[in-house]
Amino acid sequence: MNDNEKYIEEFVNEIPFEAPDPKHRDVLKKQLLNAFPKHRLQQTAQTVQIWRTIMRNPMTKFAAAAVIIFAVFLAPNLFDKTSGIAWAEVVERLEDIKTVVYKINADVRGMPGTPQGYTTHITQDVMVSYEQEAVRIDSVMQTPRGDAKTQTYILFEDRILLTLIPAQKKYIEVSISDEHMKKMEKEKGDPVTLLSAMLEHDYTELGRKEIDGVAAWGIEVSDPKLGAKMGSFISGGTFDEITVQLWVDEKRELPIRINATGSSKDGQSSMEVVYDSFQWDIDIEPALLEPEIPDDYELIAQATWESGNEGEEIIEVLRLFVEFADGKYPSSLKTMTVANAIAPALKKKFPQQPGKEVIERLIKIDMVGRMYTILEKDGKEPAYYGDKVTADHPDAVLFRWKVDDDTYRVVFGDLRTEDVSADRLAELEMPTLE
Amino acid sequence: MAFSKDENSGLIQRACSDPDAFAQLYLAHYDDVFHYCVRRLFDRHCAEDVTSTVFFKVMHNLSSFDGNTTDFRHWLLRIATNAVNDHLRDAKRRADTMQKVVRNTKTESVYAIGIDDGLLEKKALLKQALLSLKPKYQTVITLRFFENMKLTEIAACLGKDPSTVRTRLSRATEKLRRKLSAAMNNRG
Repeated sequence: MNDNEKYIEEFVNEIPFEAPDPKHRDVLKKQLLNAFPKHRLQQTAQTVQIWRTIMRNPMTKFAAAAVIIFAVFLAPNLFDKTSGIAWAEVVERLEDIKTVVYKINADVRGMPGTPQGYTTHITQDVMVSYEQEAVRIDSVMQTPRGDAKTQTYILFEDRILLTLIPAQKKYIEVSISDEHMKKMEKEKGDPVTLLSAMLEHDYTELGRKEIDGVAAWGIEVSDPKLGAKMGSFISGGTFDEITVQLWVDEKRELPIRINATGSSKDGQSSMEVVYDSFQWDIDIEPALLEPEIPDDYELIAQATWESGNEGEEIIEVLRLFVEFADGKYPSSLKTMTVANAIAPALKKKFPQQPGKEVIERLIKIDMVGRMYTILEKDGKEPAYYGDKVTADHPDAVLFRWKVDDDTYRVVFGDLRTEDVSADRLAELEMPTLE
Repeated sequence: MAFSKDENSGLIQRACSDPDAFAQLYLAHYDDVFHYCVRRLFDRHCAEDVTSTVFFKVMHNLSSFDGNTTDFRHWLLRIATNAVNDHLRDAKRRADTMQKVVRNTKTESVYAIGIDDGLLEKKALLKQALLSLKPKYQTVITLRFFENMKLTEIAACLGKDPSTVRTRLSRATEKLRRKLSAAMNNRG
């Protein structure tokens, strides 16, 4: 025990605290018993046990949160045995990694709020520390009105994502619920499980190539669902098409470059992203990963990323279109498509910054594609008909998903909801499909 | 209420599907959870609110618990830690808590009849200093000095490496000592 600990131990010695109140204990007991969910608690716990096992490993826990932003650790066993890399060793190396720093350069065409055909160049410096359980991303986005700089921090233990906008002295805070963290873990967001998931897809061996004078081996995967396990630019549900190439330094047996491209079906938006300048296990000054929010910064929005109610959250996003876009819904629920569909209406409605409440609702748009993907992955059979249905079709099926074995929640054009059987759903959907 | 290890293990299993067993488990651990919460929040009502949140979470997630009885206490404290930190995370709520700290310090004598004035004053200083730290630092301080947990136990409870906890505890104690010393000096 060092001096500081001794000092505190002596200081707190015998400090009195209030005793439990038997009245509260009894009242809470009654409330708990009234709410006792017998049917749920009798289920087997296998999936959650897997979660617990994952959570015991700080590496995977951390990586799960990294899903929000970037898939950094594309694991090496993407490659088959002919690739000449000892993949098991690479996996071991990645598992021991304590810190990583890298750069991202992205060209995104059709960013919401930009002129048609405009390509936004984004650069990001990313620091990840497994020891400190934190990520910091310094971004510069070149917009038609000049450079926009932001700092984003993800603090895993605190389950908070903070984005600071220094030029405007503003910041946004997003809390990540326990359940959402769990969900991300189940999505195989960590490097090793992500790769095993990728191996389930069709992949192409790219062979050997020299990158910055270094011999590297590459692999390519094209599948929009691949993005479900990745974040930000490559995040699940952002684009309709996604292709990712991963290159591994043959000698060091660690990733050296990641290239990704994505595009929306309607051709409105696309992206080209390069992750490089990886530095593994370098010392990162702890203070760099601890956000300091100056007192004069204004909190412009506070939101929570929840899990388990993805369908309802999507309805909340669709409600924005009734309020601000005359009930004309986005043609698909891919994030970029949704964001582009609402942007002109918002620009018109709010020439200045919208209020806190609206911003908090808009934050959900970031997650809409991912939420839809979660419904797909959870086997909830979602279907969306925004390309055919508007608020002027109050009785047409706009969106639906499965809520239990034989029940679907149907969202109509006027955003009214109804739970129906599979047979009834088929009847309701017929006019829409025709 | 005390149970042997085996009894407790069996109780946890039964509590997943048997409300009576859950009630027993709840009563066996209510005091522990409340004590932890009140030592983190320094306010009875906040502590009771968070204790309620903790047990509802326990009830809904109990079937996911697959460890032994020692793990159960760590699991419970981890849920409590998350719930307290959630409570403190809201900046406004944090400010309210700080205000209550000041307010309660003045009225605390109602419950504290017979308690040494010096201890009450130290408690007031501790409240202000501790609540001004980041939640992650508050957590390790409380687990170490009030729950009397070893580094390895704190690590198990928080699901962290012991080395991470050691670093965090070192930073937390340094910060807290600095604040306490400054406060003591100010009070003369």
